[in-house]
Amino acid sequence: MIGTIVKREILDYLKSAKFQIGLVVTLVIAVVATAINIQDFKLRQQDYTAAREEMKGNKYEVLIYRPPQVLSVLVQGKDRVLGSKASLTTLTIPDRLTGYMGSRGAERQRSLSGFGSVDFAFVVRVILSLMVVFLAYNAVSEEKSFGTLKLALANPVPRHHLLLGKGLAGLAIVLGSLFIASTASVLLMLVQPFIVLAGSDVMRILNLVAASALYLIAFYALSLFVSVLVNRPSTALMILLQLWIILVVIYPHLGVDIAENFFRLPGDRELSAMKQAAFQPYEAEFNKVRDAYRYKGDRSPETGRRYFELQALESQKSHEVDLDFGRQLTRQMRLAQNLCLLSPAVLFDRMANRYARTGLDEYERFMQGLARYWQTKYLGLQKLRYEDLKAYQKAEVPAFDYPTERTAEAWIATIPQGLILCLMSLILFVLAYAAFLKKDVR
Amino acid sequence: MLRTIIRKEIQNSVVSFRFIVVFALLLILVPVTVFILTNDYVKKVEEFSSRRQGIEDYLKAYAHFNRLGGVVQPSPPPLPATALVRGISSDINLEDFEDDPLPVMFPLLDLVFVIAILLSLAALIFSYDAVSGEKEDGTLKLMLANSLPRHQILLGKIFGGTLTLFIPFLVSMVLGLIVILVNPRVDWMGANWGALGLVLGGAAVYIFFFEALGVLISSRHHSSSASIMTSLCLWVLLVLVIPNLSPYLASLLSPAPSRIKVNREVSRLTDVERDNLGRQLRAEKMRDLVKRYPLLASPISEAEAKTKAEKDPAFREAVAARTREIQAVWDEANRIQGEKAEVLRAELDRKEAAQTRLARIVSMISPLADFTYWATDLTSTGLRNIAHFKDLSDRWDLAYREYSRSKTAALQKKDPAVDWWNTAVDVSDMPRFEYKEEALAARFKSALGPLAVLLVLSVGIFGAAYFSFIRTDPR
Repeated sequence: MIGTIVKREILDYLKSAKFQIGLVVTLVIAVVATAINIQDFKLRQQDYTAAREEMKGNKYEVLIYRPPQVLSVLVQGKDRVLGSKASLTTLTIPDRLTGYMGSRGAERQRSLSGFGSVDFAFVVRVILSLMVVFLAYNAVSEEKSFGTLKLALANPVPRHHLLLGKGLAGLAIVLGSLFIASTASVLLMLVQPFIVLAGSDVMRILNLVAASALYLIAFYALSLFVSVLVNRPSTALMILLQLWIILVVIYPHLGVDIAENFFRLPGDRELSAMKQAAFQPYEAEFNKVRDAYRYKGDRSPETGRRYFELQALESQKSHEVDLDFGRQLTRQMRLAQNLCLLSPAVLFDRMANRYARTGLDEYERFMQGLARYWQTKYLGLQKLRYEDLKAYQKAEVPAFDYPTERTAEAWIATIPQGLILCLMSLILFVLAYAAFLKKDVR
Repeated sequence: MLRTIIRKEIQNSVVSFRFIVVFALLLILVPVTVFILTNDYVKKVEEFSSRRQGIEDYLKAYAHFNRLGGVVQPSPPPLPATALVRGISSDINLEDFEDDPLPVMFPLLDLVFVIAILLSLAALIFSYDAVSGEKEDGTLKLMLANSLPRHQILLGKIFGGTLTLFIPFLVSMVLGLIVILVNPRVDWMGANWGALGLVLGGAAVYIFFFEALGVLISSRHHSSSASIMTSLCLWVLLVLVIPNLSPYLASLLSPAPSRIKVNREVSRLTDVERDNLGRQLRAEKMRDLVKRYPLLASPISEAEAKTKAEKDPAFREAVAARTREIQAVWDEANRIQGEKAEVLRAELDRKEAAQTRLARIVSMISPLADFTYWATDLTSTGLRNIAHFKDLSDRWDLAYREYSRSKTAALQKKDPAVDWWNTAVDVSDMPRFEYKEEALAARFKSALGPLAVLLVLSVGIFGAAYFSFIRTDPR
């Protein structure tokens, strides 16, 4: 019996104008956005390759660039915004990246809209979720207002079969649209010769599609619930649209605003005062050694090494302050994210950014890699300068790389968000079910 | 008659569920946003004045010329308008990504967001069934059966809809303004009132555009559900997709060379290639010099040359000529390569400017971009203000250089052997950088472009709605 209902519902959906319009819009935007993002990625990749040439050469000021992520074609995330250039010296472990690649793109985008970039994640978060609302808002409410619900239930069909049939059919349509949109985007990526997807990238894309499915299912469950609850389809649609605005547009923004307001971070001046205080105990010795080395011409190896060690120590101390600041910033962001825990859009964004390696986690991983590189390889190179000048002149700048995150790690890290989405869907389905069983169908 | 229709439209909407939700949302959202932004502003003012005080203290203690340049950099003060509009001025210093990374990572709420995103969506939600709904209910037939011109109905619907949205928004704005005005730390002045009034006027046009768009779509559809579907698709396109894609589109249509590549090419031109050219020119010059001064033909060591020059005036003259002319050769090489590099840089600047301009033009198809430009330029929080600030700081820079020149001249006059770079000076008379907001009239004039586009778009959509409604079949 369920099979018949599902088939009938699916056919109904396929014939409907809203499905056809929705699918066309989704496909067009997904393809256009992906095509543009691919070109953008190509430019950034070229810039990165050109910039890497700069990494060679200067041995004292070593420049490190953050590579653009290949999956940013699908989920731009923060990849463009977060800067991409770090310069290492004995005096500084960079705490943030600056950069030509990040800054200009960011400037352009922020001047225009409150939303982030247009990409596959945008298609899912905004367009497909709207489509879900449109597909589901009248699932029950319209049959009720047309009076067909009475007729359908006059047959020996158990109520839960009817609801289940409708639910499954709607899900099939939603997931089918998601499948089409993601296949189109991924195919477009695959035909580009300069995009090489590793096995882990493919796994990550699959995870991304799965996260999208979870997000859309949650919206579907919500829409079905409202549709069961409300008798007039137009009222159901209005309620759903308002809920959509709140959940997708307002709530995520407000969460950040509130977190920023109730969790003050130290300003730049405070930070530099803290850094100064941290180095205070060594300040006198540092000044003495520096004057001896630089102004009094004391070039003995001991003085040179001590001068170098103290410089490194100062960087280390201020890096610790930066790390502490970073931890506070992370805490502030956690608060923002936790405040937004009930918005499926935020949960989806976090998962998508994690899978595409375009979120803050990847950035932090890069920065940690940078600090480790500074402590082990870079300092090792600089030490040579004071110990064995000839070896220093011969030495090459050591290669930089940082450990990449395994897909399994990303997967485990996103379990909470996935669980919350599943739980949301489940609760809403159960509520819809309960409401439908008790519904007055006349 | 028109008034009756408008009144009917307003009365109809006011009791509807959607109106109540939107009104409640605005009443909460606007004051909360303004409250948060005002706190932000006050914090920034405190930081700014303490930073300024810090600089003054520093200048009293260590005013050497070797420190001055780094310490007295101009920085823009926070503006009261940022209590309403975040804009992009706060990120002038984006290169360094210094003050506050959070807004870079998360776009935040402000007045422009509320108007551009929320009110546009609300306008469509209010108007999607303006015609199709009445058609479905059968009331359109009835209405037209009276001796009522169609254009009056249309006007009534669009104006009624605009007012239904605009008045609750104004009410919420009053609450927001109270939040600002009761805060004694916010210096809200006449020009701010003027700018706010103009922004709100722009908002009215913006809402009108979306009401007219809703009515247009509504009169082209037979069912309201299809109408809202189309409306929302267009909304996503106009408000979210076009503005965000326009920079990328512009970079594809009008490509600019990569900055990093140009920099590398410039450094190659002024380094390796300059050396090659210089050596080649020097060799030529040397051949020429040897012809004129045969004395220079045989290579001798520097020490020998020195003794020889002391004895032989002809040789001394020849060496002086060589030094002079070789220096001229290197100057020439520097000039030639410098010009080549300058061409490359100018080309890059020109192409980047063209790209930015194109992005702006493409984005102006979207009413959201037009309104955003209008609002941010008027409140001195937009791109125009960035240029204005640069202008002011360039002017200050000139004054500062003039000051340091006269100051060092005075120092040298007192003591010709003075090490002016490392001597403490009294800089109480140094010109301080003072930011002055651009006059409202100038801001208004510069923002007229986007407003004109918005008006043209609105009139166009209104015309389309008119023709579509005239020809609509009310049955």
